Amino acid sequence: MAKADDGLVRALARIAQGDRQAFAGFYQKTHRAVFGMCLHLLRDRDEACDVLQETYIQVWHHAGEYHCDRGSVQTWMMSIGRYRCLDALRRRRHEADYDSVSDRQESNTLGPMDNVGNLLDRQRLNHCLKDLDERYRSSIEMAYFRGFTHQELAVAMGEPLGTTKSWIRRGLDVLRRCLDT
Amino acid sequence: MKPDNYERNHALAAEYVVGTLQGAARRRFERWMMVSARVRRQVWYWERRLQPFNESLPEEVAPRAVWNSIEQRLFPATAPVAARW
Repeated sequence: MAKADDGLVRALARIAQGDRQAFAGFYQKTHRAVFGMCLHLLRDRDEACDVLQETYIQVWHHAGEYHCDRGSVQTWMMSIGRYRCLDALRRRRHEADYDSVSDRQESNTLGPMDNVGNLLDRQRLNHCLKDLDERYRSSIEMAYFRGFTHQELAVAMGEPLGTTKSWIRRGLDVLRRCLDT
Repeated sequence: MKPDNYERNHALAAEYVVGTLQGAARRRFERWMMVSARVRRQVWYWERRLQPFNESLPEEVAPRAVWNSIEQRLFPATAPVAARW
């Protein structure tokens, strides 16, 4: 296991035993990434705060369920937060804005929570995205980064619903074949 | 949904993680995840593979009130533990 994740796994083990100090440290170390993602997806600060709160309540109750087959601790954390954001978007039936996905960092350097495995994963995904048909890539990114529904994608891209559905489906299939090579 | 269709389930797992699997289909898939370890692994595959997307987003410090609310909800009758910002 990579070093950066090792400390987080130990913290989760202590949290699972009810260690509040470990929980506070874990929150301090991880919450910025989760909050940044929530803000990006929800575009509403109050709602992002609510989802962040729910995410860490869930972490406290389910820390013992983490295991390395789920990916890094960061992946596990971000997934919990992401699904809560998607739920929030569906509840409010959000007013989609159709800005391009512009404020992402195309970083190929290690950040504070990164390890070498993260960097390799990032390089692989970037490589596969570059090879992907532009329409497939855009539809996947708009769904992922904006939480767009198939219907919203169709409106945003000015295409029939069936077309954007098949772009997403086909794009993910091609992406998987590339990621697996 | 055909439980034994590996490729179909992979496609559904991908759309579950991306978020385009919605409504009744999403709920059906979540139930299927509860009973099938293989389907859960397919979801984890996509979560891991797409995690770099999450890492590409700018981080932001949350208002301190969020941590206070978490503590109040989880430990209402005890003294707070300060997160070391």
